[in-house]
Amino acid sequence: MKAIIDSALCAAHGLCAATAPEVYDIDDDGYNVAAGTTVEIPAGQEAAARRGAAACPEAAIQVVE
Amino acid sequence: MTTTEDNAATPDSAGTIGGRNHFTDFDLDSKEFSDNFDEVVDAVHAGCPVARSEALGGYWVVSGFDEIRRIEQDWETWTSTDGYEPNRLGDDNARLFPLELDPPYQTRWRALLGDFFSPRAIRSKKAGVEANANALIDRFIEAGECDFIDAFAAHLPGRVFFSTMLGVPLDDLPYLQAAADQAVRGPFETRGEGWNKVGAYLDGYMKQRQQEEPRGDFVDAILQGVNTDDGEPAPWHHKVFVMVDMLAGGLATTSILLAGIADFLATHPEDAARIKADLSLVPNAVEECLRYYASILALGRTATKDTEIEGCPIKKGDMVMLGFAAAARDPRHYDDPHRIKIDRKIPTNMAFGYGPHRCIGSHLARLQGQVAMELLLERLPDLKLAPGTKPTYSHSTVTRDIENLHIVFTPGPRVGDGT
Repeated sequence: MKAIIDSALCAAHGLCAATAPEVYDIDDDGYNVAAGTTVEIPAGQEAAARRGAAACPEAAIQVVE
Repeated sequence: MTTTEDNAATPDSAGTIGGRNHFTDFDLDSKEFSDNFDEVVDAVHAGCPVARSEALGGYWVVSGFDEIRRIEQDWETWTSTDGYEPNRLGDDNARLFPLELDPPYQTRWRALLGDFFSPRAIRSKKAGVEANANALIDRFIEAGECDFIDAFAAHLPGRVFFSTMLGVPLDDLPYLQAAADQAVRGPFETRGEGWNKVGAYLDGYMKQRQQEEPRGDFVDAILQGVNTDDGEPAPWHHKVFVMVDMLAGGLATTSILLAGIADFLATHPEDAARIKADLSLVPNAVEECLRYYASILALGRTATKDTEIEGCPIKKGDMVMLGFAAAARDPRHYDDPHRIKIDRKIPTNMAFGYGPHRCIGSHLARLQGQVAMELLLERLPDLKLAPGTKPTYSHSTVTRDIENLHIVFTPGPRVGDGT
């Protein structure tokens, strides 16, 4: 599973990291540190990855199998 | 010193508009503000990042996009637990959760509810929203005129919420709508009573659902609940507060958006024609209406320690109202902010707030706005404001309401069977 994090959409609400801190991390300004990249989701963290993506108000995170 | 120099030299005089000084004597509810909204917003953006109000026991008002963003991200300094508006502490009114919670308890509720409000989950509601919107339009389309708020905007959000999200009988809707209206827009001293009525109904509905087979919907998710910061399962009354919040957040706010969309179409015929010819323009046009007609005027945070905003000292315990509607017109972020420009790029729509408490129902609001815009263009293509009328705005601390919107149009046929 992968999470594609759109840097144009990420607006630093910080909800991904608040919801799924084991998967998503934010910088000091609140932006996803991986914005603009595709992140490999480790086995066992799929559910958290989905929860964090669903929490994003801007729909900036797309989780793909 | 001449009058002109005096105006330039004393910031206070720049704050006087419509007979009130909005820098030193701001009042979110005041007619001087609602009647002169654009001008007051310009004045605070130009000269008053932190205004003082002596209304409702006293509060501060912050209007800048960047200042609000900083405060919303720093929930440790700016707690939500003392209430979303002044004077919420110390009474037995129903609370609104997760609005009046801080992380991490707030975060757990958001995570639980997020699945039901994600873009994907909300997309599946489109047919239901369209059916409800068409049924409402059927009731007035043969008349050729209506008050759009009484006939449509006040009803669609409630019908959608109760039918597609909650599954309660539509017969109960008028009572619930009136109670919610009282809670959000009624005279200040009766708002608590409104919340209590809403809370009592939803409490009963949730108890009923607890006895039924689970449907896998968001009512079941709330009944399941999350743990508090003490590691205990959330008590029953917290679950009711969550349900009330979901309702309170979605009704009046979306009604105002829908009224705004009708006002926009009626007063911008060239834009309306362009959108009708290319419906792919609808989502961005709705986004711009969300910004321009921003329905949440302000929500509060309380300082947990002595601090400052833009050099203005704030004492521990002081309430700061975050002026989202004004921030959505911040010229530092939105060029020519008092004009509706349907091609405007809006990376972050401050109408929905920011950070941990950003509106959870934003995608449902957008969907209702998009459906309404498409159906109005299709079924009432020549809608206009009734001659000699224009919408009236009023403020109720938290919301910026449109009170009436009399529209006229060529009568059309009904499409449904009247249900």
